Amino acid sequence: MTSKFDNAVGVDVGGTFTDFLFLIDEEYIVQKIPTTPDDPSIGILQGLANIQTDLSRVAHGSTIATNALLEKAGARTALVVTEGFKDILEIGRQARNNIYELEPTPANLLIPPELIIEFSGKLTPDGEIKTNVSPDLYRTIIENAVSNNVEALAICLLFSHKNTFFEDKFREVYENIKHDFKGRKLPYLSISSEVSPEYREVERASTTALNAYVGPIMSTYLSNLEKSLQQVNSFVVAPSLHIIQSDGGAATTSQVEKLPVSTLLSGPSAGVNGALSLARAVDEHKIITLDIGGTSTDIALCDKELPYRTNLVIQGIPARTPVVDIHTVGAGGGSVAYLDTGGALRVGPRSVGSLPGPACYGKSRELSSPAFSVTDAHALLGRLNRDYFLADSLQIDVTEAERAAEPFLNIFSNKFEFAQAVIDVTNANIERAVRVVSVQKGFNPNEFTLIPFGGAGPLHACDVAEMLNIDKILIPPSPGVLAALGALQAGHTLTVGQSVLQTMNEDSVESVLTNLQQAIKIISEKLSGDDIQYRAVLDLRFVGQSHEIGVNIDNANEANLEVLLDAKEEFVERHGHLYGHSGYDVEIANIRVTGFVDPKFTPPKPVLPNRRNNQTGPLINQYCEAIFRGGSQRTPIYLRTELSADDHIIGPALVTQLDTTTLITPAWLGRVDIEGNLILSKK
Amino acid sequence: MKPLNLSPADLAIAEAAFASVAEEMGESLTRSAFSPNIKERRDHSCGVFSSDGSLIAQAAHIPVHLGAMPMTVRTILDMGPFEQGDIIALNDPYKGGNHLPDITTVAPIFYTERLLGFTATRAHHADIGGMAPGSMPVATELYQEGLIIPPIRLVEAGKISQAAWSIILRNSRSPGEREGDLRAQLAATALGIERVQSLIDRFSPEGVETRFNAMLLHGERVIREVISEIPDGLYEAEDYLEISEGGKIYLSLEVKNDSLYFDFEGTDSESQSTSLNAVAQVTESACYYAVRALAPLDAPTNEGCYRPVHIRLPKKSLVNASDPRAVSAGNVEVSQRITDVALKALAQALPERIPAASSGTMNNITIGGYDSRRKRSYAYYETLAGGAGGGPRQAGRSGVHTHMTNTLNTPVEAIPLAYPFSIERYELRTGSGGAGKHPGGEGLVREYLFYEPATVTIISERRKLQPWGLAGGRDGASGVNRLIRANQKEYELAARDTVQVHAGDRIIIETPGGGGFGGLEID
Repeated sequence: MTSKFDNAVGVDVGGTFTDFLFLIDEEYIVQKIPTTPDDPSIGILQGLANIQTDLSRVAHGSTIATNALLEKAGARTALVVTEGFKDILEIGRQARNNIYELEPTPANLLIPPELIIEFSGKLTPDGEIKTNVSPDLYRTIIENAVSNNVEALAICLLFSHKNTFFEDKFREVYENIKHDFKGRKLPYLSISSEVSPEYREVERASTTALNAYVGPIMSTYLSNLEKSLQQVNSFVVAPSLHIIQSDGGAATTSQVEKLPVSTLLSGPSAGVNGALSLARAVDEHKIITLDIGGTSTDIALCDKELPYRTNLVIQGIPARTPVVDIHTVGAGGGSVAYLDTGGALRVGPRSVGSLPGPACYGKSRELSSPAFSVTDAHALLGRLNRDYFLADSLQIDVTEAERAAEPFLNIFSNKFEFAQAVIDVTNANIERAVRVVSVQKGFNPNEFTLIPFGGAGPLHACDVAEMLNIDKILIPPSPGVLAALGALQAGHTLTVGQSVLQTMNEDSVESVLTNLQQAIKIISEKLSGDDIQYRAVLDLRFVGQSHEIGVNIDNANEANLEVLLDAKEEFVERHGHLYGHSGYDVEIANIRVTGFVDPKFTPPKPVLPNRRNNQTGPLINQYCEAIFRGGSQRTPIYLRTELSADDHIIGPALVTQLDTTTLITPAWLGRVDIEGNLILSKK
Repeated sequence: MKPLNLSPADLAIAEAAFASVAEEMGESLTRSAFSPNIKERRDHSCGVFSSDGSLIAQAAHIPVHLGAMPMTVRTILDMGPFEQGDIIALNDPYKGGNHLPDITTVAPIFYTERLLGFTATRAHHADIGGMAPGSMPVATELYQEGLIIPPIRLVEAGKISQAAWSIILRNSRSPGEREGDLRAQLAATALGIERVQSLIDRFSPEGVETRFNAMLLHGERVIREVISEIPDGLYEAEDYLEISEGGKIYLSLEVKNDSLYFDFEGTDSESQSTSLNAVAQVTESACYYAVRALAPLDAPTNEGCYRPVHIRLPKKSLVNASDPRAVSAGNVEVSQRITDVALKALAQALPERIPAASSGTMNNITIGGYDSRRKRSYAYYETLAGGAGGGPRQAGRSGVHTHMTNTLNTPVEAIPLAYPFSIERYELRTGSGGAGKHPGGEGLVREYLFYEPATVTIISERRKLQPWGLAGGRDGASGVNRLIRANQKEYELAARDTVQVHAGDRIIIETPGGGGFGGLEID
């Protein structure tokens, strides 16, 4: 590989469009293609073929695992558990989702009861073998699974975080009998000590089962996509294929085949990663990302780095896998407005979806009473420019939005007041979510820069920022392809975690170091590249506590005993700072090490249009009448592609581009920075 | 009905804003609390109140806190005048609390000199003294259950009362943990005050009062709408606690237009021999829960919701205990039975909405002793789920907490890391759910194995009386508590029992299944 970043592409498969961000000869090229939901790889290949250039790397935000789960289209999966614990997934944490449910929603079970197999081998809590089993049992279980047409087999045994003996046997026997099964397919194997080797059995079992459930479909998808890539004419050699994981990092296909559960938040995390990289390039290190899509808004708060957590609940199913900490709220462009039974205006969580979509898209003309969505509110207020919205591909029909507003006009004095009310309520819901996320992290949101993206983010940014007392907004050059950008520049990551569960003091710290070094060794064997950076997270707590605080160790490959003891001191200090007290014995629960290969991605210099000699600012493309709180105002419309560095825009103004429209309200100013970002600040 | 005096959008925005404050306080409390009970099981609530003590917004994770908070704030109103920086603390069940482990703080919110409201936090502390670790003993008098904190100024004009602070900590078996959790409550209080003050800046003091009134009226309208859908009539129901004195809880529920009248006259006297006594606010919580569960998902949680609900409680009864009756099980057990009675009455009016009885007990287990391996004393508390009742829509869910609680279980792999016992079996109790068109959910089996001597206290219900079926569905199985000694001798334990166990002994708890709904079709 040469020192410069080779031609590559980041791809993000969304619900409606598949976004491509190509980096060709150090220039960006954006492309959008309608998603092919039945097989997303068809759309991807179309997009790649269109560009007619050789590529060295395709990095892909994938929804395969997520969709298999949402549609319950995963594999026929069996689960092996310790005898006496067969209902581990159904009982879960014994709680219901909503405290006011008189009839609690049933557990979302991916595995039918008849495919749960109790295993009689037992370990003591310390990991010693309490009851052993006949060596034939492993083979019998696997063969029974095959004859029951099981496509995926998950193994999760109690206390395997202490001793992997039984689980290793399953792997060993499975590998041994592979050749006996020529012609017949062995099920996909997912083993808890390989998938999620940390203690707390419900989350481990659930993660292992989920991994099995989406494993076969992911494997098939990846091998098909890899084959297809070899057939694209313009490729001299098939590009390497990377899938974006939920932690924002890239993974090889063989890594993802083993651990598809690591891709459940692939696209959203790539979006946050893309936003953070843009922010860093202009020295912004504290950002709140606001990704407003059709049905929901994703919020992430980054303090210098991507925020992580290791627990995720998706469709009611817990999964323990490193993910970018994203909070989702049911408010988006398609969210539907209604009056509740007490007369308050509510917006969402119900959404118009892609069909019929917002009334102003004109697909609900047949309906006698179309729903009124947030997008319709923007249309009524004159913010969706009829000529430029979505690059002509979709016409905005304001009369349809008006028709949808009619039922509300006996309560609101006019359609504009109603539309503004819908926007205000939506913003209040978003504000609430941002505040709760900020408090969870111990921050005041007003210390952060807001980075809006997604189709509707830049329409809401000024209002939301104002409510949060945020005084700076950064609108990326292409807010609609941030996830593709995040994919394009994602470094390769691999995380190895394990439960350690021992006290942390001068006498015992040596074995913690040994564990850390083992993890680093595993990673170094699996990741290619000689400049791997290692970061460790130690989950520490005081003896008697059941929750941990993660303490980071950068350059973990250089860590020594002293560094580990410093981490312990840092924990004691942080605990004291957070909780006002500390001082018992410290113990370590888990170690998680992430290897990271820096892609050395240098974003190309933006190509901004040159100003003609005597022209001082950007050309106003045209004017429209947009409605603001004070009434109708003649509002200039700018084309984003015409904006150049140091251009200033005074609100009110609209800036339109292929993938979004930015609303600069009357109280805000815009300025274009040298990287092409549109920076908004209060007047 | 009175006009809202606020636009539909401003109303929704105000509700989002004040609900956000309550939620943010809850997140702050969760984040900085020390003990697993508050941090992981989220046994806490936070609320914002108007200056006359009306609940404006609440973030509750457990329904039993729903009705109890407004009473708490009202109780302390006569402690005024307040100063900026005052924080009142209490746990006295007969002065605004619900049971002793729940410590509540209330703080006034001032804007310039003007008192505009209060914030309150309530958290379940793992130990507040008394005759058994965990402060949930098999008791007959409140004094046995732990330290009683009447409403006191724990913080006076910003200064912590060291005297009160040290008394509270000295009376707990785990003072370090208490200190951490109390500080977390103070931090959440401070955040709440700061956030409400910023909302007063946004909306103006008068604007805030207008909004409070509109929000209360809105809550009232939503619930009146719900009640007006219930057919008018008088519906009676009774159910029993398993106590020697009788244990009858009797309700006559009158539905009249858009109001509900709960009358518990006819309920047996308070229990002298057990702690199965609910104080008034626990009973109110159970009634509010039953009503709130009928409301749409987007309904607000404020005191206006309770205005159409009128509750009459006979004095010195199981549902309105008097000082100094023991009450620790009122919160966890009596509250479940009151809910059963309320739902049983409502089922006559709304057969298409109400499910059969759920397990109806929280199966409280407290284990305490000395851990020689870790060289420390310990107290461990957990509750076990059971089967949900089958309902008009679907079969009951198995192994799930229902109605007044929703706390998480403790991981099987986590327990032996911290305590000298382990879980040997944890699975559904097959066949315990009542049969029916929509069968009741299965209860659980949880088997404990002890490595060292320990004292085990069980407080459970539905050990004799079964969770009832509905509309022809069969009853769910009652629960069973068993002790198996190391020598394999087996003993059945009482519903409420304290037992000394030794190394190698096992305790097996089988929790009740839910009642079935609808008759089985027989050809």
